[in-house]
Amino acid sequence: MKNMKKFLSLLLTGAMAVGMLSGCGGGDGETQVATAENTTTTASNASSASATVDGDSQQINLRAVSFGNNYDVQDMGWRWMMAECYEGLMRDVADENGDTFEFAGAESMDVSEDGLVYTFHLRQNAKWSDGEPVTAHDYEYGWKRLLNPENGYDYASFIFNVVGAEEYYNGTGSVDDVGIKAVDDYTFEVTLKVADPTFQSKLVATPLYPTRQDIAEAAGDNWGKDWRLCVYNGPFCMTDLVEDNSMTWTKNENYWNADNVKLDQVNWYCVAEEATAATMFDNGQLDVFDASGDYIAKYDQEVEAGNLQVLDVEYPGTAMLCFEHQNGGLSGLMQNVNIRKAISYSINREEMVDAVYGRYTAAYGLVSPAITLDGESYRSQTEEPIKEEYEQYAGNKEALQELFQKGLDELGVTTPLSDIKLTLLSYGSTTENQLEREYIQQSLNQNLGITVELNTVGDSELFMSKRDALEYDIFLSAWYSDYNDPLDFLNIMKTGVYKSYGLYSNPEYDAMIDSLTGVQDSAERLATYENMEKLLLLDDCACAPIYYSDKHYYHQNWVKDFRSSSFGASQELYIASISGK
Amino acid sequence: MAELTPDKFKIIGFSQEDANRIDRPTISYWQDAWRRLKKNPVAMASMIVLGLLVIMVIVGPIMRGYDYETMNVAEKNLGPSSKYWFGTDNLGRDLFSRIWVGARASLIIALVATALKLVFGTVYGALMAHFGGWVDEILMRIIEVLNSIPSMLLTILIMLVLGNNLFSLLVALSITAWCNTARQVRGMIKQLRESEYVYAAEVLGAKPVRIIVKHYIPNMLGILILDTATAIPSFIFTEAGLSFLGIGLQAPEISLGVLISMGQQNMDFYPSQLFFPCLILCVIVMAFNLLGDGLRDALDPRLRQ
Amino acid sequence: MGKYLIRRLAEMILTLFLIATATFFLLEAVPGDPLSERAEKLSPSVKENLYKKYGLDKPMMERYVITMKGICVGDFGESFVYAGQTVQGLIHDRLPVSARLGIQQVVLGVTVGLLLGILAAMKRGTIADYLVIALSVLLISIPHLVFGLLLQKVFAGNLQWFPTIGWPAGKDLWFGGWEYTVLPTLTGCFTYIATYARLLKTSMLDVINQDYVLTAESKGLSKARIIRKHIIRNSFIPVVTQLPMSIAMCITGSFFIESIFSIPGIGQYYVTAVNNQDLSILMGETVILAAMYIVVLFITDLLYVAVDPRISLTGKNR
Repeated sequence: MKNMKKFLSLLLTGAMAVGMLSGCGGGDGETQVATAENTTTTASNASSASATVDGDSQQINLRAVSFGNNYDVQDMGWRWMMAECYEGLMRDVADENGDTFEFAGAESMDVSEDGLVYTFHLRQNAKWSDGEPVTAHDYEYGWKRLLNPENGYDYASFIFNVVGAEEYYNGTGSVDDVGIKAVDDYTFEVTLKVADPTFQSKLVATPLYPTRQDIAEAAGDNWGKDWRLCVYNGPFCMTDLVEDNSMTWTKNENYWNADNVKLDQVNWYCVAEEATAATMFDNGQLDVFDASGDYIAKYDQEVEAGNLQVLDVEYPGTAMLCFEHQNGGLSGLMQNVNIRKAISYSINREEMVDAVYGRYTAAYGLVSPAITLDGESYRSQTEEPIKEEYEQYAGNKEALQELFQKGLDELGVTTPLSDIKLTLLSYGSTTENQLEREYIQQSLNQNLGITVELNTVGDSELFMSKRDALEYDIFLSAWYSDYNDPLDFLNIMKTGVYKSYGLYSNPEYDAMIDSLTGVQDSAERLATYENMEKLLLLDDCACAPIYYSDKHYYHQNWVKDFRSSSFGASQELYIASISGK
Repeated sequence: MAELTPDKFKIIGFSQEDANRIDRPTISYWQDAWRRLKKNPVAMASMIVLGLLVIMVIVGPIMRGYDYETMNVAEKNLGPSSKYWFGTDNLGRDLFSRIWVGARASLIIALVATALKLVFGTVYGALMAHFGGWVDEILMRIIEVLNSIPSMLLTILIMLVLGNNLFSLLVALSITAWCNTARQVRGMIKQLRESEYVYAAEVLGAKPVRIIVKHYIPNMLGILILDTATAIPSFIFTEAGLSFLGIGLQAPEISLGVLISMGQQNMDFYPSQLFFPCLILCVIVMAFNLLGDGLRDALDPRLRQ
Repeated sequence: MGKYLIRRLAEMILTLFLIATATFFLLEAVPGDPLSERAEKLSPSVKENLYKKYGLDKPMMERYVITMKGICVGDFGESFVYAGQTVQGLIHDRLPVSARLGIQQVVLGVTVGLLLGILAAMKRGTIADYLVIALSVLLISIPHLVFGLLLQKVFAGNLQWFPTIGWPAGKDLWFGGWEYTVLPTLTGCFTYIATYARLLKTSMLDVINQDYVLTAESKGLSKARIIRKHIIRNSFIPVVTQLPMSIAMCITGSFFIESIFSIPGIGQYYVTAVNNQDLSILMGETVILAAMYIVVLFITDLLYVAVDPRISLTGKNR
């Protein structure tokens, strides 16, 4: 996901009514009451041999805070749905030991010796939900669609390393020169400009999924917006949606691996309030509960008593405090590194994580521990860059104020600390939103003696317009990674990549990123990543990381093989089943 | 039956003075209203409660010696105790102090918004009644337009346009509320202008100022007082509702609405964080409502005995 | 009569036009635009195309004219945020849901409210009177969100008498799936109970002090007969005036209730549309809701005549 905004909009955005009944490969009967009790099954048409295991109805009930409204894989609007209903060349499959990337749409892959040409041999039994085979042409169309400048997809930059891709996107090249082609129906070939070890890890991302040209073009402007116009090639297909209420997925009988998909139906309920979801979970109306705050403590006890099971996973996201680098913010002070450091070190991350969120891990680096390099967590291979320096200052008001004062002196500002005013820009009305901004406000006030004014705007559009107008000193943001490589985190601070992280710009840092182009040796990459993170956080304090994200899924004992994958569906139902309900 | 004869009657005297004497003391409308209000135990109790509330919002925040915004995470989410009477919130802040600070903000917002509504509504209504004709038509149309746009949309949009601060909150709250006042005032003045006693006063040569002070104002005051008594709780209430949408005061400023919306998200675990602010809100709203009822009874001249 | 109707119709159209204008410029005044998120990373030429597609590249006045023309022919345009979604579609899908919720709240709330109002007026100054008032004030001073969640927790969670979330759909849309509607209706009805109990109490007290009631008493009519024949009938006038307004307003007023019980109604979408700055949808919904409101006001005026013979349509304009 692009940034906190997009992530939040997913959480916050309700959507609209297209609540008509429709079927995936056949009408699904009459669903009269779209509710949690709706076990009058639509599974009757999912007439597979695996419909029942141990006599249990293979239906799972899940909660969503809101439903997205984006079925366009290239736009990656709704990853948790797309990863279950669609499939790309590879699949992020999670098991007890974490995520592994397995071939899915492709059966095998050949890489040329220079690492430039990737040839994918596609699975010949893969089919769309309407029975058509998934061919290399679908991949070619999808990838070229991603690059088409008329569509303006955010994720086009994912494959700018493909020959001719960036030129096509920027309007200087032709689509015919792009190094993406279907050699035959089941052979898909991609040619890169330079060898790139991160390329393979991007293959699980939904923008690189196939798209059916006939279907997409028939849908025209409404492609990706109206689920009834979609066809699916994943384990499930969407069969019903009542916005703000419920959504149903049914097993895709045409899926190549349908024999191993045990669930017949997935029911999603749109439950805005956490208290409601907890009530339903307690009653067994929900099978899985994504808990936060005090619910974690409550359900941990249940887990100990054997009444529930839990799946705790790291999630590849990091929240951070961003500073305004261009003008130094409204106060003009943010241009000084000592002032930024004083602010960063005034925040007691352990305490904040505990008091405000009741979950997550205190962050002293930018790259999340969920990111692996060579199969091992990046964080276990390197120190967190600011941890040591943070500990020198932690809780020491005099030292922090001295640091801040030093920054003021360097800027030639004579205002006493007590008259300094900083503006924290934010939006959002949940308790968590309120507490986090108040915690930061109070921390800076209590440790530095400065005043932090909150500018809390009504919605995300306003937040963005204020942010882009640079009407702030600091704001909170988060980055959720799209593919498994530290580069995806570090790249957000490169000059000009995003407007949404404070407009940090350092030629030295940019040069370091550029120096990685074509480097395949992991040791060398690791060393560069380490240096970059150090430069970014320790030398420049370009942003102040606050926490690494995680997920706590509590589920009923009758749910088997429930998984969470970092880059696919966060609630992975691919092999899940119900037993002993 | 005994026959009545003149000698059975005696003349006891007669004077003009006696004939016109009024046995009961003259009391003005206001004295009478006050007298009747005093007889209403519920209204009096409400007044006392309101008096106490006013005292509490002034001294409450300093009573316990805890700052309402300084956090102390080591003591977060505590229940009520002798140290923290109402317990503490998620960041370990004393809820007792916070509630009174919040109640103060809620009351001030409600009072200012009511004042805005009254002043603007009265002037607007008076203008409509005074000029009549096409001015009246235009002004009335504006009211109709404002009333027809769903008030929630209007409030949210104004907050978005003007930003999240106290001023825009007050504007947003009063923008639809004054319409009703203006309508009432317009109707009242139109009615008064044609009433016989105003006409009589005019004929007798009373100056406009005297008519306004002696006739218009006392007659309208009843309605306006009632308007105030019902408007205050409804403003407190609307403000609380907006807090749930994240619209309104900015931290560290808090209102009862902010406290309730934060308490609501913790209600499964720390019900006291929801209970106490709700309780105070109920007390305030109820006191104003019951006082309003009492005032209506007391001010209604037809109930005069 | 005909002349009056024409005049009123013209007034209604004028008001609607003013409402649309006011809404348009108010929405324009909000900083930011609905496409900024989508356009954030686009190249300038693509961005231009996107804005062109939605007509946002044109100057404000031109867009105003286009919008107004659209409204005249009933075309409010497509949603900026959700392609393919139109105002008509929203109204078609969501209005019935909100309408049922609103109507059930109003019917229950008004019925109970009126009964309590009669009780309070008849037993004026007694414990019953104060209990009614205290209860109604108490129940309206708990915010909907809190009250709804409490009801949900107790009756759906602990006791499991009713379903936690959901709303009837399909053929049960209007008459069926009652168990789903109980808690949402209860949550919202107290506003109406409180309003109508107090409204009726006040107006009954007014009527009780009227001379014709005294006359009836002195004629020796039974108390029940006085209440039925004179008091109730006459004190219902303000109720009849208020009722259509309640019905018109109940549709947008249930945002929190819809959100708690996952009811796919119009109130929820309205707030979402504000947050997304979905201009076309907001514009369309506002105009349609305002139109409903105005029509209801008109009906109220007609009802007035039906209830109160002292008022005539052709007489002096209000």
